[in-house]
Amino acid sequence: MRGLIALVLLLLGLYAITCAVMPWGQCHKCHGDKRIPTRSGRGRARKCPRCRGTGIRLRLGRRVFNYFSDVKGQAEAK
Amino acid sequence: VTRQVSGQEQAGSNGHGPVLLDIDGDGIPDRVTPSADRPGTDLEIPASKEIAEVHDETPSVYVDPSDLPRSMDRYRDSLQRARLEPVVPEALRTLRGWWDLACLMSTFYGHVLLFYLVRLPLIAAVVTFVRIPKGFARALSTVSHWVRDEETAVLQRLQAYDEKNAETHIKLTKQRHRRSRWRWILLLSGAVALLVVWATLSTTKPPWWYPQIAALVLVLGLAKLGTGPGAPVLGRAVTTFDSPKLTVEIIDTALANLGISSLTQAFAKDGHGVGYPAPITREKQGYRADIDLPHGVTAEQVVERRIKLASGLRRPVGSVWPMVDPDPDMHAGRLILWVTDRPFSKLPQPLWPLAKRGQQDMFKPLPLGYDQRGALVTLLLMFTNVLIGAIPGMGKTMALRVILLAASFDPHCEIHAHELKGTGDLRAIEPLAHRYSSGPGDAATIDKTMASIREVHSYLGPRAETLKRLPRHMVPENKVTPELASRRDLGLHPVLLAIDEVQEVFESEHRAEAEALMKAIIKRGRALGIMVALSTQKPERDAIPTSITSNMGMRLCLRVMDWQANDMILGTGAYKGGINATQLTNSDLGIGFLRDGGIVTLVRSSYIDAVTADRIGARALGIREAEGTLTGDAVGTGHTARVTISIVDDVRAVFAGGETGLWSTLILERLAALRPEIYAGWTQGQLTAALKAKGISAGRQVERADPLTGRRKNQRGVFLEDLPEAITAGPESAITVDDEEGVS
Repeated sequence: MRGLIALVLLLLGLYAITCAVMPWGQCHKCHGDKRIPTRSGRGRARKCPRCRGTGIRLRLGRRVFNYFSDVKGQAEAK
Repeated sequence: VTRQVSGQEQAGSNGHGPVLLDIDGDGIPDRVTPSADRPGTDLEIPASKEIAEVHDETPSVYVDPSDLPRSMDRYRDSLQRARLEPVVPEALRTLRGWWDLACLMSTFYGHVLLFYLVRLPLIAAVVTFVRIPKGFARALSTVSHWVRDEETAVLQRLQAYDEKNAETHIKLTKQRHRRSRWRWILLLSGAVALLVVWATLSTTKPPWWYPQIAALVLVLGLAKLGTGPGAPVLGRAVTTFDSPKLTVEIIDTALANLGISSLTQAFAKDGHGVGYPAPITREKQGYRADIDLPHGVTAEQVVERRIKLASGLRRPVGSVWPMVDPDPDMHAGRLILWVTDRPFSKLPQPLWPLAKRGQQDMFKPLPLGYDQRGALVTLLLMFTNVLIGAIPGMGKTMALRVILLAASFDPHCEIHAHELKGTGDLRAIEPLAHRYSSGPGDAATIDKTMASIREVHSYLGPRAETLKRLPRHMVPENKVTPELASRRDLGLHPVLLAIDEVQEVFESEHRAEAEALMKAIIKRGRALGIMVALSTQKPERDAIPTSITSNMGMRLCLRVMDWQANDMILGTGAYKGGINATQLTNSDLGIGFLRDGGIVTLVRSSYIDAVTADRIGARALGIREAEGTLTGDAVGTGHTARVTISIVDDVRAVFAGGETGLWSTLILERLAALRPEIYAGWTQGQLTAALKAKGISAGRQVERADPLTGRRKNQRGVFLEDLPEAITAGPESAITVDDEEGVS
């Protein structure tokens, strides 16, 4: 049990480091392609609506971190 | 100024504003006299047509005509008053100056060289094992930063990581890649080029020192890279006492924050509150800045705020000496600011000139101490008197002692020294003083002091008579001359009456008598070669009668507490005039203002401690003994016994009964036991020289038993038979001077 907790903590730590060092990851929808094929597979592929055609997304951990740092910033700004 | 003066105004105003004057009486005004607030500026205007018209019809004239011809006199004056900077610095004017400089430089740089030579292994180790690896790492990291375009990476990191910045992020990423690609190409091609050069060079045959030079450049470059700012391998070889340079900015800041409102305003207006008529100069021990304060601000105001000024300059108070320009012709806003490298009281002080050698002549200035420039300050006591004042413990008695010691080197000067504090501070003078007393203002000491005053007073009549009797050409100014003073038969030798804590006399029952006698001495004795030096910690009216203080020509004021005391010592109006001894602080020991008529000097009287004073006094005594000028108490107290100290007699005295010869080593041992104050530490060479001067050989071989081992052996020494019988030492005449001779 204890080993499991340690493992989870380790993974969390690694994830935190990843979020700090490379906050951007591939878009889950287009996998970095920036566009997605139409449902039928025919015709022109359209721009990925999820990442607005950038192909990247902010990692969940980073977004959580940003949320709290924003809240903190707002609190300090009075 | 374009103020205009109307015809009516000039007629009505009297002393206010410019007035047109008609001097030659031709009905045409020919001069504009200065307004009351600008004394000394003579604006000469020739009787020009315009002004003539002014007088007749035209209502006004410009006060400051721009085409005013410059007066030749003013031009001449300004030339005359200009400070001529030396063509060759004073220190280099003589061969000796050059030599001194060369010596100083060789000492300095020799020291630096030696310092680092000794530490060379340590330096090499630090450089090899710390600095070079560090430099290498730094070089590597710099190159890699450049190649990987860390600049852009930093920008990326600065971006808030937000979904809406995704596009910027991508743009920056692309930029980074573009740059990085090109920089990699540059780097690699550079490396290849270097390799090619290396390969070509290694095939040719270069002079042997090429690789060495390359290696040296590389090593030094890396070591330099590995040295951060302010991280020398070692401490400094020399610590110079150059204080931070005094700059205009520093002075401006300090003046602007003095709390003088008009001064602060002047700076607030355009940042140029004050003028600098001369460049800030570096003097021997500090800096001098001449400053023109804004209109309406006087130098005295700044002098009063010396402590604030010191704070503004970020220097210790003891280093900051604002002064009013001593030139009475200078305007009141001219401030002279001295900033010494270290507090004035701690500056290395040159030796007091008479400490080791030399004699003094009372008709010449006595060395008192040194000013903030390191220049000798002297005081010519002849034909004047000096009053010294300060709160206790600031060096009053020390200053008086310096004066007395200086006077004691004029063997003809008769010294009356009375110290009414009772601490014996003037003890060094005792053996040679005509009259001496020391006591805490008790009846016995006061009596002795009074006796001394009466004695000096009794000189007045006879001396005046003598002067009157002498032929006119010998006393051209009805004053004692050096020639007359040196003639013992006339009894006109200089007399110095010095009383420390003189208020004790005037607060005693003898006040009335003392006042009458002292007044006469100070007034009449001046021309008769009688000088008075008084010191007091209580310069009040009831402590010293004004009739006495007001007639004393020279004043020395060390630290005092209030302007009243300041003015009592330095003269009425001194405080207002910026001669302000209340600005002195507790640490300004021995520092004061010496006022000689209109000339005021800041002086630090030479510090001579009691032991040194005794030694100096002994030297003066020796001179007096040799001249045979000891009188009064000095004769009676048996101090003259020293006259008979003779090396020959002393050597004879150390021969034990039955001894015919003595080794020099043994003589030295016994002499040291006999008179340790004289012979302690003597070497054989000194003994030989001293005996040789008397015509006695100390080089003969003496055979005798060693007192330690008992074995007989030969050593250099002196035979009793060589010593002449019963020497009566030379100037015994000292004792023959009669005590009463000076009075008659």
